Amino acid sequence: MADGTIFERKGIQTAAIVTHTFTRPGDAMARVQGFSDYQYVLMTHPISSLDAQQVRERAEQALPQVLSILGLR
Amino acid sequence: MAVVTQREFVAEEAALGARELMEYCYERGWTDGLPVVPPTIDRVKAMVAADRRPAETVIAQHPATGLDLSLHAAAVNAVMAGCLPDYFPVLVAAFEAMNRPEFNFHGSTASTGGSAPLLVVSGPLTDEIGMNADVNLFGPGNRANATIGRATRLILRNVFQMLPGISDKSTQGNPGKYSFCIAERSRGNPWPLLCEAQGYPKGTSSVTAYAGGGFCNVENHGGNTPEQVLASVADAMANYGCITLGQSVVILAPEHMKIIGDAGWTRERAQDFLFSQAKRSVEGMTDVGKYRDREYDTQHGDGAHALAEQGFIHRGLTPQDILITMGGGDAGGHSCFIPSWSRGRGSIMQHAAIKRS
Repeated sequence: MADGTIFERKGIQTAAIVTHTFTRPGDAMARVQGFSDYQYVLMTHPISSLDAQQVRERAEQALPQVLSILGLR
Repeated sequence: MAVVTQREFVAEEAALGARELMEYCYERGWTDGLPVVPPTIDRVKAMVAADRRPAETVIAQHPATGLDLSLHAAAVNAVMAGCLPDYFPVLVAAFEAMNRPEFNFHGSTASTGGSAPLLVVSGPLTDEIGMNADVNLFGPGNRANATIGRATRLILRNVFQMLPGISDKSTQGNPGKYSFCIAERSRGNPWPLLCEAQGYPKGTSSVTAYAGGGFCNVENHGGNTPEQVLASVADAMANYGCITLGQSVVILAPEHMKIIGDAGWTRERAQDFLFSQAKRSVEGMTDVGKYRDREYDTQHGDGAHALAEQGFIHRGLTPQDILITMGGGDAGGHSCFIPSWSRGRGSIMQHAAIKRS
């Protein structure tokens, strides 16, 4: 989340991805960085134990959110 | 009703005041769950005076939020933890060490990994301020050890806002998150003290900060050679739950150290032995789902250490990733291994000189 807001400050459009168990720290970090209404992609937790195919499926599920945040859809 | 004397009344009022102040600190969310010493102005001034610099001097900055740690804020939390002013230079040096990007103190304190900054204090200052390097090393009872470690946690909580469930997402945490601070034992230690090995001038003490992920007791009362003792340590370092490319801290019990020292082993030889033995096969790592190509490549690619064996994942990248020294009471074959937080996200132990005021 911190990385996403830093990119935004530099004028680089960013879609940060947060798993649902990290929404509280994610929101807190965005607030501290001055982005209290920061929009991010919400994904089911966990990710680290997924295999390659499952990661691809998660990415495909998240794609509409990513494109929406980036203003591409 | 019994008559209350003037002296008893004053004593009760004073006690009530202290209790109210303590409750106020709870209400403000400033504690680790245990009562704190109210940070009154005179106490904070006395603490700040242990460092010669202005109170507003910034000694560390949170890399993700930009929040600053000033000497004043450090002193407030040192008071709340119960520190004496003599301990303050250790706390300041610890945060100067942790402030280096290589330590990654945001990641190591925010992560699900639940690590806690272990402080290993080395050198003559440890005796001067009454730190414990002896019996019950990691346990309670010594004011300096307990309160320096506790102040570290209170600063992370109160200054850097590493709050459980919000910015600190430790899955289980570890008991060291209350306090995790020890002194290196010099008495009977056959090896150069850490402060000497780190290159500080004679008489200069140091503190080493390490993102420690818990505590693993290594019991061996039967082994009587360096290889036997250290093989049991290496096995703890390489258990499937702990093994990563991360660094290690090993605190050898005096009984174990005597066996190793009497055999003429140097620290470097012990590090080499542990690195070469603390390993798991690629097949075994694959069986438990922990094998990753990129980690293997990191360990065996360009610049790989000569002791890194093909077909195995070792703990750490080099023998120098293993800090070994001695601590604890004279009796008992109980050493310990303390695993690290993530190497993948970059967390390397750091040390700093302790500057006396």
